[in-house]
Amino acid sequence: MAKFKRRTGISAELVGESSMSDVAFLLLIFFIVSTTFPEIGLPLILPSASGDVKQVARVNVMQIVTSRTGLYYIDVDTEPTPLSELRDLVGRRLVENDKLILSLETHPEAPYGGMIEALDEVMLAYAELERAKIDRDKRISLKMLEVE
Amino acid sequence: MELRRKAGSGARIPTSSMADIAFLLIVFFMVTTIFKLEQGLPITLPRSIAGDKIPRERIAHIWIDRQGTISIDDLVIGVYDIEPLVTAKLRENPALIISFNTDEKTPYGIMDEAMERLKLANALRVSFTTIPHED
Repeated sequence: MAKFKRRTGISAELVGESSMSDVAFLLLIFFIVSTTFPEIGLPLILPSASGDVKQVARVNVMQIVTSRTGLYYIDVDTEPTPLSELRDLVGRRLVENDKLILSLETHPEAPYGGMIEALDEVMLAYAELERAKIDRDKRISLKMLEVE
Repeated sequence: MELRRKAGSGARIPTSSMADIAFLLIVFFMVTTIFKLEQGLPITLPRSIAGDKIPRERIAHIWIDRQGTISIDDLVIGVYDIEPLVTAKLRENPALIISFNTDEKTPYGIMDEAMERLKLANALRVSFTTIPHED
């Protein structure tokens, strides 16, 4: 016992504390460098320019038209649909029809942000289906309205 | 006797942390030299909820501001220059994702034109950059 005690008394091995702040800085800078904030975006695959044009049955297309003022019209509706209802509507139509193509048609003078908000709702509708374990390929088409 | 002893005790500069300082300098210069980010154009990005993370190393940005000015690699270009520029970029990295950093108030017609050019360049993977919704 006595021997043991003496040993601990003699060995005064200290961990160097003077460079602790340097190490702290090193870690800080390392993490600043290595953390890149991921970019957030809505990914989409555009149709190929050389691809042939396919004829699609009218019933398999859901048109979401963004007007010049940023209002949303579904198919041939004359009354605009509020953005908050868009997700449920798209979701319901997707459940009913597994071949549904969502055609986002936008007026050339409509603000881009309006189209993105509609696209966001469509993406969210797909995400909800995925959560409900309903398998649907993303069939989204972006189009510009022809205006004279 | 006392004088002699004093002369013996010289002040020492600690050298144990020298390596840390060297590392610190290396890392510092790495940070300041490598990070050359694109400046782009001043824009207000649209917001989204469904936004996904896009791998940065596969991204090439196209900036389009409210007035329809288009910029790639900090060069202001016309809409006709998109195709050759993107074709060249795609040759370097076939898995490239073209990321649109477009102002939310840009007229959609300009975006459509730009997307048509991308189709011609066969750059079909696109992403519309957004910022997360505040709620």
